[in-house]
This record gives sequence, C-alpha cells and structure tokens, in this order.
Amino acid sequence: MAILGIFLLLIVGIPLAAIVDRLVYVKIAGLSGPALLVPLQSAAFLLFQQSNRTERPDLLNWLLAPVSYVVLAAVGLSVVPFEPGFVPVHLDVGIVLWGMCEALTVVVVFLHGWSANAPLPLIGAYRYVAIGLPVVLLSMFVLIGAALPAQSLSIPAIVDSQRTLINAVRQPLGLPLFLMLGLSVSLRGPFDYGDSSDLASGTAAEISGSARLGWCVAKLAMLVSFSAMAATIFLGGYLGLLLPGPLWLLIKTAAVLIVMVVAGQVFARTPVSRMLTLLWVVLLPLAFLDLLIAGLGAMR
Amino acid sequence: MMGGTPYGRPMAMTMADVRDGLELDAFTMIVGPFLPMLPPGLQLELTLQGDLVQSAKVLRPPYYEDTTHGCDQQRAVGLRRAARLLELLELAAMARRCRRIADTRQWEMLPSLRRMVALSGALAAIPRGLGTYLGSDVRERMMRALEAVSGVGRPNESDTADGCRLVDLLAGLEWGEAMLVISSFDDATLLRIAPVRAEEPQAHEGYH
Repeated sequence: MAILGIFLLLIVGIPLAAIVDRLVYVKIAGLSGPALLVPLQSAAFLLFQQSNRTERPDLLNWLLAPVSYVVLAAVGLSVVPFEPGFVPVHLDVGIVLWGMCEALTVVVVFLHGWSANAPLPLIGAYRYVAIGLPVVLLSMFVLIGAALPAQSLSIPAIVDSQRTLINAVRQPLGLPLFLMLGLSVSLRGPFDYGDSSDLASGTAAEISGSARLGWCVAKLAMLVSFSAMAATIFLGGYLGLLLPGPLWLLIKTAAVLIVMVVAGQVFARTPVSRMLTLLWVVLLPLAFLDLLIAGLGAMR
Repeated sequence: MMGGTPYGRPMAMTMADVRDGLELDAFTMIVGPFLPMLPPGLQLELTLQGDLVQSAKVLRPPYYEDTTHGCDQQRAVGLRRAARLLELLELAAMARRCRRIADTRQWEMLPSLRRMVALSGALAAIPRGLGTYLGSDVRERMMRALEAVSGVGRPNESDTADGCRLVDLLAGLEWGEAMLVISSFDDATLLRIAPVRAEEPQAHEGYH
C-alpha cells in the first residue's frame, strides 16, 4: 500500500513536472497559445521516432542507465514519510539511503554518457563526474546539519524535529545549497554539466526516440523525488495546519518543484572550470559554515 | 609499436598538456558543419585532450549571412547570434525569446530581454577576458549583440587586423569556453579570422 504511494507520486508528478517546465519556458520565451499539451505531444513524437544507434555502444549500460536513474529516484522517494507512521520503507538511516541515491546518480549519468561510445556524450559524462561529486559532498554537510537537531538519521525523526521550527529557517544556508544539488542530480540549468547545450545535450547527444523519452522521464522522476525530499527535510514534510499530512507534503513538493524549474531556466551556466572553483572555494566552505550553524544551534 | 590508423581510425596518442601537466590521450575529431552550438557551415578539426582544445583547424568557413540589405536584418542577425550564446549558457527559453524578437522585428521587446539576461547572471558566467580579440571579449561582444544596434563595422575593425586567427584563440580553451568564443563573433569577423588554410603536408600521417 505504502509502496503504491511512491509510484502514484511519480506517475502523477512526472507529467506535472513536464507541464510546469513547459509553462515556465513559455512564460520566459514570451510565447502564446496553449502549452499544456506540448509535453504530451513531444512525448508521443519521441515514442514513435526511430531510435538512434551509435557504432559499438555499450548497449547494456545504455539501456540500464535511464532505468537505474528512475529506480534511484523511486528508492530515494521510498524513505519520505507521507504522514506520521506512514512511510513506504521505514529505515533508521533513511537519510543515508538518500545520500546513496545522490552519489549513484553520478555513476548512472556517467554510464549513460560512456556507453554511447561517442565523443560528445563522453565529454559530458566526465564533466558531470567532476561537478557532480563536489555537489554531492556539499549536500552531505547540509543533510548532516538537518540530522543534528533530530539526533537521528531517520527521516520521520527529522520531520518530527521540525515541529517547532522548520530546517529551512533553522539552517538558512541549507535549503539553497540543497537546491543546487537538486539541479545537479536532475541535470538542470546552471548545474546541467552532463546534458549541457554546448555538447549538443551531452550524454543525451546520441539518443533519440524512446531512449530519449526514457531519459527525459528519468530526469523528471529524479526532479520529483528530489522535490519531495527537500520538502521533507527542509520544509517540514507532512507537518501543517488544518489540511491532512499527505496534502501538505504534496503542496510543499510542488512548491519546491516550481522553484527548481524556474531556477533551471533563469540562471546561466558557467563554464566547467569556473564552476569547479566556485564549488570548492566558495560553496563547500559555505556548507561547512552551514554545518557549524546547525551544530551550534543543536547544542543549545 | 604505437600510433598508426588501425581500422581507418587514428590511434589516440598522448601529447604534452597545455593545462595541468596531466597527459591524456589526444583525440582528433571533426565538428560541423551543422551542429547546434556552432555557426552554420563552420567545420573544424579539433584535437582534444579530454575537454580541452589543444589545436584547431578550420576545414570549412561559416556561411555568410548578407547583412547589407538594411539595418533591420543586421539587427536580426546579431540577435540570432546572441540567441546561440544564450543557449550555450543553458538559457534556452531566453534564447527562444531572443530569436522571436529577431524574427518578428519587435525591437521594443529588447529591453525586457536584456533585463532578464542581466538577472540570469549570464555576464558573470562568462569568464572575463575570454576570447579577447581587438580589445573586446566574449562578454562585451554578447552585450553588443543583445543591444542589436545597427551600423556597419566598428572603426578599429579592418581587414588588416593583427593577423589573429580563430584557431589561435581556441587553443588551450575548455570545450564550453571554446564554443562561447566561436559563437561570439559576427559573420564577417568570423570569416576573416577563420580562413581555410591550404592543406599542409601531412608529415606525420596518423599521428594527431
């Protein structure tokens, strides 16, 4: 029953994310006309388009990459509690499981670029590893900062610890830093170094048809999963007045998702060497500072 | 024995590195003439080390879009170039807006686009001094393209420039930066600095 919740959230969330993505695009591009059906039309187009093959690809990994990506999104989502006592998978170390999903995403995106056996996807793959790893590091500090006040690595306990004050307030640097991780794991905008446009969409440069559709769906699945996780860890998840818990979780997830989509389309991506410097010299020390603030706050 | 061209493909060979001393296999590939991030028609032979351009050779010059028909067309061509730069900065929606302005000639929509681009941090995202040519870098050229001012040439642009070539600007740049530099030049400048060189004698057949 609880496992069904994960699939339901993904099945509803993925098309909604695609529609939000399109709406924001239309708004910024200044286009007119109905936008709601366009994602569906593109999906149908991709579904019936011929699938491309490169010379001697690593077929197994090429097929497995989008599948593993969706699985990672679903596994990450499985530790998000929908209401008190209702968690698809109850784990005492839920937040570690999510951390694992983040780290393995780097592997999956790398494999996706690697297995095409073509130069542009391969450059995208290596580049994503270089950026993805420090971003995951960044999120680890932030997540520890969220676990400190709860004195637990279990996600229901982290939600419970936010009854008096949500982590987004308690740990002001945490949410923005965590959102950067979200942009990175869902390959979006300023942190899209795997599928970037200067490589003709990088790891996805050589795929078309249903393979491309699968990859796009996988990215959206990770976006939905990340949004639910961010809503849970930083915005109190199911906590809220009047409305039932699951509804609060959905509202907060949708809010994070919209912020992510907008951020993905309005912020520019800097060349990779600058981003590396920015990550190691500015953002990681900021994450340390965030952890210090959270630690001192938890000691009081 | 190393090198050669087994199965018609040159073997990857290491080369002295221009960045950090880490010697990677050099890989030579031909890009263009039709890649979304390059000016249409331009075909380059790039020798890469990872994502670093070691050397470049122009195989085919870009198409030249004749802009002598009027300043409206000149502005539109400049805006489409700016749109390609915005796309390289992962600002696809703004690039679309930019192309729409160029197509519909609604110049009054330009200030709002410029505001959006400024807020996106696009300028900060481009390293200062990247692709400096005749005193202007990619940043400056992008801003000028977005202003969409008409007017033929600038006083310090002449055919007898300093002999600087596109391939010299590209050597040592990371892939993304190289794409930004290529897309930042207008057609006339690009044609001038990207001449197709007469085929050099292949002294080291297969050794790229």
